[in-house]
Amino acid sequence: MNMKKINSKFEIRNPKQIKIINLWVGILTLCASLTFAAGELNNSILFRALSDELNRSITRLQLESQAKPFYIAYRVLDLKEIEIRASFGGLLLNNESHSRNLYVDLRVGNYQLDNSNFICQVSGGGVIETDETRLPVEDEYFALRQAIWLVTDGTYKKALETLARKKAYFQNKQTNDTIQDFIAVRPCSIIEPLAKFELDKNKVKAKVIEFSKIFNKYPQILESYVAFKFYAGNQYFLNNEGAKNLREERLVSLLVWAKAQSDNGELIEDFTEFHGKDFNDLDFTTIENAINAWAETLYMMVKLKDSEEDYTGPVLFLGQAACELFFQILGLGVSDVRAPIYENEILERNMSRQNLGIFSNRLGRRVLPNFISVYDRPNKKEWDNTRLVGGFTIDDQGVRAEDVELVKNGKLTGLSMCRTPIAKIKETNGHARYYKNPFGTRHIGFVSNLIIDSEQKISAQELLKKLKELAQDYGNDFAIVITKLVSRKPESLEERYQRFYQNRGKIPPLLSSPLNIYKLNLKTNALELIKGLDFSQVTPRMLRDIVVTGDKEYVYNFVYRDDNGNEYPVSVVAPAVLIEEMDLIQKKGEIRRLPIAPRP
Amino acid sequence: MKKFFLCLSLVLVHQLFAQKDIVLKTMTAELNRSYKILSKQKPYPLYFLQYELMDEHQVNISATLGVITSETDEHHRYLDVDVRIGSYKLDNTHEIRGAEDDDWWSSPIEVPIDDNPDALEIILWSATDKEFKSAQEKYIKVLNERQVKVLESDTSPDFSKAPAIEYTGEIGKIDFDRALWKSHLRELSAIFKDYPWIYNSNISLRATSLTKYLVNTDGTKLKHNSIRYNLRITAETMAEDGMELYLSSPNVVFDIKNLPDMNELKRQVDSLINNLDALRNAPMVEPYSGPAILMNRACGVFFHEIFGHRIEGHRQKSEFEGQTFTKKLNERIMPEFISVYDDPTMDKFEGNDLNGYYLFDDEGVRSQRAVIVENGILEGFLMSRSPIAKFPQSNGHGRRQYGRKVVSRQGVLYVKSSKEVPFAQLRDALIDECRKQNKPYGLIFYDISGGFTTTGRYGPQTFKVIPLLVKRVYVDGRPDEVVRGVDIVGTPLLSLSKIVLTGDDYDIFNGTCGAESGWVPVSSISPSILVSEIEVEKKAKGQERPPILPAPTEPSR
Repeated sequence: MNMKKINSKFEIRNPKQIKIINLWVGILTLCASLTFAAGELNNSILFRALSDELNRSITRLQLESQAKPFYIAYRVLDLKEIEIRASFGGLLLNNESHSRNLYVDLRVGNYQLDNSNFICQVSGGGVIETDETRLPVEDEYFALRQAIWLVTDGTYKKALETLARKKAYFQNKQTNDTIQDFIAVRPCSIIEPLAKFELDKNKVKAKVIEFSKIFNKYPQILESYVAFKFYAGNQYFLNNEGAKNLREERLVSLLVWAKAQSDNGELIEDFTEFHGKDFNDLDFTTIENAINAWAETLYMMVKLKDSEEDYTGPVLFLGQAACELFFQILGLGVSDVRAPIYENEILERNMSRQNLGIFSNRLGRRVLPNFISVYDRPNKKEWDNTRLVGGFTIDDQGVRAEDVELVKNGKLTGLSMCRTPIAKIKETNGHARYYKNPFGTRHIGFVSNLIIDSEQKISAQELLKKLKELAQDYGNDFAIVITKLVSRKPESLEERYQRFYQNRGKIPPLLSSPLNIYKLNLKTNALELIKGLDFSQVTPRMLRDIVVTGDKEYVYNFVYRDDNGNEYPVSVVAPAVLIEEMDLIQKKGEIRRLPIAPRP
Repeated sequence: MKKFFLCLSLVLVHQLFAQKDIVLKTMTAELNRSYKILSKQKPYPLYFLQYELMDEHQVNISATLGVITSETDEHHRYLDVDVRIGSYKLDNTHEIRGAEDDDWWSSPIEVPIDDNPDALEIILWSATDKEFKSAQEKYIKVLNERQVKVLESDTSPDFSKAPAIEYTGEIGKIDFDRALWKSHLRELSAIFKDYPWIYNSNISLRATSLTKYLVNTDGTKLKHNSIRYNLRITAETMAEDGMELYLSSPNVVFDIKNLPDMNELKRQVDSLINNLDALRNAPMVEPYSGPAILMNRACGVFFHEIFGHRIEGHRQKSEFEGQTFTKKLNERIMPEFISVYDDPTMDKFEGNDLNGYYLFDDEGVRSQRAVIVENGILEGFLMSRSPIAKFPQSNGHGRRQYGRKVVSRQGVLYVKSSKEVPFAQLRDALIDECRKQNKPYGLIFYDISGGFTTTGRYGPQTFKVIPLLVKRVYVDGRPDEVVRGVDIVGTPLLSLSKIVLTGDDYDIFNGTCGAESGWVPVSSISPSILVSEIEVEKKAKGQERPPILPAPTEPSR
């Protein structure tokens, strides 16, 4: 893999360098506006309304005896969406919508100390909204200005109050966060095309209904759906540092969910998803085969008895399981690496915990065996003719996205960064994602296309041979192969609330439970699907226990979903991995009486 | 004879239609199949099963400052399965004392919108099985509680019988010229452009077609539809001291043709703007206790909040409820010139459509006029199929939003007076009452947004009603003055006894009410009333400042 173009930059800048950057920002702003003056974009009513209100606010928005904002950024997501959902051959819904949401990033103070990275409860958000608002879907200058004006005003007052409380917090704690809150960047002026919303709706509808019918033949499946979602549109971005850019937004998804009941009454749920950027990325024939195979596996699982013994020994992770393993431990570990400060413990206790940023203090240290390197490549569009969906050219802070080396020969060399620096990395690499929590909003660095590169690759047959050898060393008569870990389906607000209240304050496991587990008989070489096992105490150390990897990469496109309703498309490209030792313990699922009346 | 023949053919057409309706047919078949099996399940067989399917098609168009801000067109179908285990006397729906009510979490079950019978029957089967098991679990808890806790004060049965009804009504569709109405909404919303001190304004048109399919083991089979168009004007601003001010004007009709014409709608917009302008410049009122008039629509909301929720049947039975009126049956609870009915069979009042009108409730019972207060005497309650002492039968008030459990709710609350005077006289009476009490002024409440009322036993039996537009009427003849910053507070029994006179100016409030069983459409009809004493307290006020920069006005280029 040629990775020469990837730069990993983390250097400490002194204030003089920041001033130079600011000057540079000014020059580039001028250049950028000259470029745009001739462009079609400047005629866009939306950009004009954003720009006029931004200019007015940055120069004149000031409460007496208080500071003006030093940074204002407007981000508008203008999206058309369609959702078609069916269950057991019946159409559940077929809805289209168009929305235009404005997100405001407004900062008071200065780059060293501003109102960000601090979580507290402040008033506001009644008649005058804060942080975000809906804009009219029709282009009319005055109506757009009015909405932008009000939300800017509300966000400014909130920012002043937050900064005052943050300063008071530091005063009381007799401490200060010496790391800068915000870093300057070169303004980005990429203009991507305006997205087209093209779709053969009738064809999709017919396919969704047809796919949903697959489950009619399995009486053990109690509930199921197949959903098609497509959104297309643009991100309009503008800030007072001179950035003005347009990002194309597209994601097409086919989601399949089912809940089945095993013969012993255990409820088994599974979810699978297929994604692309364009409608043509979804090959319906392949998907149909995949859904059939997936349903068949679920059907096989309901026929199984629970494993009667625990397991200690080598585990081979294949396909989705290998990708989820890298994403959940490493991907989340290098994301959101600057933890915010909470004004009080009650707030912190009430936030849901997500295992983000656990590698933030491990730069330069070994996190994987020395034959594995890892990259986060948002600019990579596809892998072996398969579309990757996690990437973007511009991030949610309007910054040009850069490919980044996360791990070189097993040692952590980089992190997915936004404009919030940490002690050892004072630059963004354009991986910002907008992040909502119950008490406000912020930006976090987040992985996009996570690419795992191994120098110790062996064929599938050799992998199985190695797995057997290791298992024999442990004195086992079988070894474990895992092909799928539990992934999260889209949840309604009510479902998320329930989960939030159940999990409040609890630390979630580092790795989700295995769903498709196979037992490899060392004598007969037979692979047998089993269930009723779960991981015991997974730590980041597990990654260092990788012995060897496969020679074929699996491309896994999915959407990361969290307790707060944040959703980010992610791609992982990873080979199969063999872990030297893991403990799997018996686990009982939810048992319910079998259906009383037979299924019609 | 001709008339009889015509009626008979209508019945035949209806029956034929019912048989052909694939949704009703599938629901009935699955209901019968499930009932046959589950009613034999020992030791706790099912004795009643009901499926209700709500088909909701909603078009929503919203405009602000001359542009369309959003336009949605959504179609869903939701299923509710009601399972009863045990007997009419004691079943799984019985209140469990000391346990949290988890029914709040129930989420609606989506079913196909395309009449696919195979999919529908699988979903019906799966939902029935889930509900049956959960009902069995609950019933065991109920039986156990009977053993370990004292007997409830009301030992009425848990469920009442109801006659089987078969009905298939006309199924209407949302039908309006979208392009024309979008242009109307743009035009109306553009009026607000000249008022930069109004921070948020919106004109929305929501068209809803709701078709309900209901089958139950009583033998009831229903399919009926309602269409509503709601054109709503709203505007918000802030006073200099940070108080948030909000006014709205709903227009609910069954046929788009009955919406007010553009001239009338423009008049409503202008009136709303004028009232909001007066409000933001109005002085704050200090806490006050004295005479007041509640204007008709405001009075309708007042009765809905402080009285209507307290005469809902299930509250008379629950051991957790304050039961303000439970033991007051056949006693005077308000002046003898006031009677109160809840009559959801009324579709119109003085030619205007009533949002709370419905044909059948969500327990398969035909809607009925319920006499609540006759000449000041409490005579009845709003009844669902959950009986209470002295009221063994439903009067067709069991209602819900999809995904919720049915409780008794208001439909069309009608406050009728026999001591009516023209409004001018009522105003004079207010001034006389002020003089009598040595008060320099009285209050007139023109508009009320809603309110809160604590009906629970562990809270104080008080209410708070949120007025939107209040005027001070001076005894010395000064012009009336708009004031702001107050909420009406009090206790229901005392407040109702203070009514001294009413106007003859009946008007309607059409709204949507939210309670345990979700959001349901309601109406209140009332004349203006004079009360000898009402108490107002300071309203909680926002602490935010009005916007710092002036509103943007002219395009920059």
